[in-house]
Amino acid sequence: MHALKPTQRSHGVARRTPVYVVCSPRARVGKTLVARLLIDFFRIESRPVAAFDINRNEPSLADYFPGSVIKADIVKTKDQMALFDSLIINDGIGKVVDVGASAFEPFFDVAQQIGFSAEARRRSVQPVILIVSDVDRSSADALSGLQRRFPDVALIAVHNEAAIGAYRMGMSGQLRIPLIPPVLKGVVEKPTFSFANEPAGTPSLLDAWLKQIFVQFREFELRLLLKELSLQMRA
Amino acid sequence: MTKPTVIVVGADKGGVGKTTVARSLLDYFTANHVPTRAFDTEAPRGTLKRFHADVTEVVDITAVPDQMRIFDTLGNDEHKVTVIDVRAGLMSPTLRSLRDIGFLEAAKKGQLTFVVFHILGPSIASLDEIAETATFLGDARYFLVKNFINNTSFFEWDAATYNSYFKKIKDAVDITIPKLNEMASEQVELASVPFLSFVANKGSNGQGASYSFVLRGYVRHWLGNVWAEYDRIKLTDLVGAGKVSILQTAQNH
Repeated sequence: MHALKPTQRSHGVARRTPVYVVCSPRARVGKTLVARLLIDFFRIESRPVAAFDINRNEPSLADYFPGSVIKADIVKTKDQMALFDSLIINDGIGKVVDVGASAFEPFFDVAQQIGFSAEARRRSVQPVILIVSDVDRSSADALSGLQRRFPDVALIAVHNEAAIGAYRMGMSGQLRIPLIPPVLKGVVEKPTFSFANEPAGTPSLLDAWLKQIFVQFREFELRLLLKELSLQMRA
Repeated sequence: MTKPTVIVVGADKGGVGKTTVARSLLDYFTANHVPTRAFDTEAPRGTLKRFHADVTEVVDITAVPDQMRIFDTLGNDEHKVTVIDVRAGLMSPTLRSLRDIGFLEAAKKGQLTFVVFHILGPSIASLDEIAETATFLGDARYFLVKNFINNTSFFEWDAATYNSYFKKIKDAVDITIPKLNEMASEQVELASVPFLSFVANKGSNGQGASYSFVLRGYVRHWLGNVWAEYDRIKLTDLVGAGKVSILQTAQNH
C-alpha cells in the first residue's frame, strides 16, 4: 500500500492503527474537505497515512492527491477487497476513507456483512466514523442508524459551518469546521493545494483556521486514547 | 449404541448445488461436535472428498459392495451421522435401493433416523422430481432445498405451482440457501477447503492461509445464514446434539 509521506520525522507514539471514515448520505456537505484536513493533519504530525476514495460521480479526494489515493468502486468485489483488506491491517499507517454520498449505503452494508468492526477490534485497528451534517435531518438519522449497526465504533458528528444552515446533530463529540475565510476559499479548493505544504508557523488566516480544526482532531484522538486506556485498565 | 442418522443430499438434475449443501452440512456438524462421516457418490472423481477428505469416502452407490460399506456399518462406529452426497441422476435409484434393502423399513421402525435434503433447481423439472421422490420417502424427514447459491435468476415456477407439489409430501419443510458472493465462492473452490476453514483463514492442512478478509467475511455471513436455516429446522435436535454459533466456531477452529 502506498502511504502519503509525512512532512517530518515520526514521533514513534504507539497507538492502535486508526481508520477514519468520512461520510454523509448527502453530497456537497464538505466530506472531501474533512478527509483532506485529516490527511494533512497526519502529514503535519509526521505520521504515515494512506487515503482511499469511495466516491462515484462526485468531486473526490483523488483529485487533490493524484497518484496517492486508492480509488475503489464499492459495488465491485475486487475493489471491496482492495479497500477492506487494507483497512484491516494493523500496520501503524493511519487510513482516511472518503465515502461519497452514493456509496454511503453500500459501503456500510459491506462493512456490516463482512464483520469489519469485530475484526478491527481483534486486530487492534481503531475505526472512527465522521459523519458530516446536512441542512436537514438525513445525516442525524443516518448517524442513529450507524450507531445501531456499529455500536462499538466511535462516531463523530461533523458540523461544517460552510454548509449553510447545517443541521446540528445532538450528540457529544461533535467536530466543528469553522467557516473558511472567503479570501482563502478559492485557494483551498484548488486541486494542487495542500494544507501540509504551507510554511509552518507562518501567522496567517489559514494557520488560524487550521489551528482551530487540528486542535479538535488532537482532542478527539486523545479522547479515544483515554477511552482505550481505561478499557485496558478495567480488563 | 446411539441411533444413527442418515442424511441423503440429492436431486435428479445436475448443477443445482448438491455438493455445496453437503459441504455446509458437514461444516455444521463439525461446528456442533457431531461425529459425522460422508460418502461421495460421484465416483471416481469425488468433489465432496476434495473439500472434506478426512471424513469422506468415494463410493459407487449402485454397487452392492459399496452399499454394504455404507449401510452395514451404520451404528457400528463412532459416527453419529452419515451424509450421502448423491450424484445427479441417482436420487430416485438410490431411494429405490434403500427401499429394496429394507432401509426404509428400519427407519419406519425407529431404528435409525432418515433425512432427505432434496435440492431444487430453478427449472420446472425440479418440481416433477418431488412427485417421483414422494413414492419412496416412507418415514423420512423431508426437506426441500431452494438453492440460490449458484444462480442469480429467479426460479421459473410460481408459488402456487410449487405449493401444489410441496403438499404432495406429508410434513415436507422447505429450506432456502442464499446466494454467496461469486468471487468468494470461486476462492473457496480454488482453496479446496471446508467453508469453515476458509472463514478461519486456514489451508487444507490446517496451516495459516492468506485469504481475503472481505471474501472470508462474505463466506462467514453466508454460512451463518445457511446454518440459521439448519437451526430453524432443529437439525441438531433431529440427530440428537446441541448447537454452537458460527462466530464461536470460527474462533475455535
